[in-house]
Amino acid sequence: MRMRRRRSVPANIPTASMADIAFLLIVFFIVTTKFQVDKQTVDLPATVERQEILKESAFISIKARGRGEVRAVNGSEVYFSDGAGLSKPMIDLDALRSNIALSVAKSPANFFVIKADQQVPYETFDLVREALRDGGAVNVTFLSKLKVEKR
Amino acid sequence: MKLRRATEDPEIPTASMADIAFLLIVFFMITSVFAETAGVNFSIPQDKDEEEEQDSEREEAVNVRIEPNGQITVDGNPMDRSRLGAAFHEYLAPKLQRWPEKPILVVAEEESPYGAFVEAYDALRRTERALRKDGTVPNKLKIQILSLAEINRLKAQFGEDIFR
Repeated sequence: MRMRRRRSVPANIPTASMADIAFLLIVFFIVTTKFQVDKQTVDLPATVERQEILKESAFISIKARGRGEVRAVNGSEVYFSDGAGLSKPMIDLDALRSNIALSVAKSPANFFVIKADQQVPYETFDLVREALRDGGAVNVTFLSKLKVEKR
Repeated sequence: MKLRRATEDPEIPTASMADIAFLLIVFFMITSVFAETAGVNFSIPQDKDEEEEQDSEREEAVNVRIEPNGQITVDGNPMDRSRLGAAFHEYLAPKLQRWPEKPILVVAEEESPYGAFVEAYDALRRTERALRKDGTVPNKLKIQILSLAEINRLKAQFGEDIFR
């Protein structure tokens, strides 16, 4: 008896669901991505207690060392954002002061976030804090990363 | 003779869809930054006169010092930074039980690192919450963060060792 030749099926990798997986990943990234007004990378201090910052808070970033050219406040780079636009480097302490005053004038209950390197000298922080006080700012949050402490 | 045309099923070409999607994923992965969005709240005192009135109490206050090397000391006793909350609680609880209104001064030098100051402030706030919870103190603690100008003024007035 003559056997009929088996019909050969061409080998292929099923890629139909690949696009579905990829689009799921895209949706994940779109949902988790937040628009940031401040893109400076700093080495934040660590704290155990942390409260979420309010949306549209004004940002003051202080970098102890960096490749930036504007080291106007006590040798540190200082950036300011009023919470709506992207952060800009401050050329001196007076520029920071006027930006703070403008921000407070827009909304007196303004919330400020200090995003500073751990290594920033206290003197720089003191200058910024005095500028905030002179400008009438009240509510400040020290941005931090999570710390776990021994009991 | 009747010719039979071969029919093809209509289909949308989706072979490149996965390529486009993966390009978008790569874009999002490169541009995404996982940022911290939480921190410690702090209120800036506005009334400078009130602080000056408290000068007389300063000798009785607890001095939390941030040294230039990042060491945190309370009344000259070095604190372990890995268990700062517990260390503050152990030191402050007996003192505040006797006098809940005792002022706590946070003092730093020009070169002290900001990170150590934030850690000390966080530990003080946690201690305050724990002491209020267990009934040691009825109200908020009198935590004062002195500015460098105030520190220098007090040092000039009472001597360099006033906060030691």
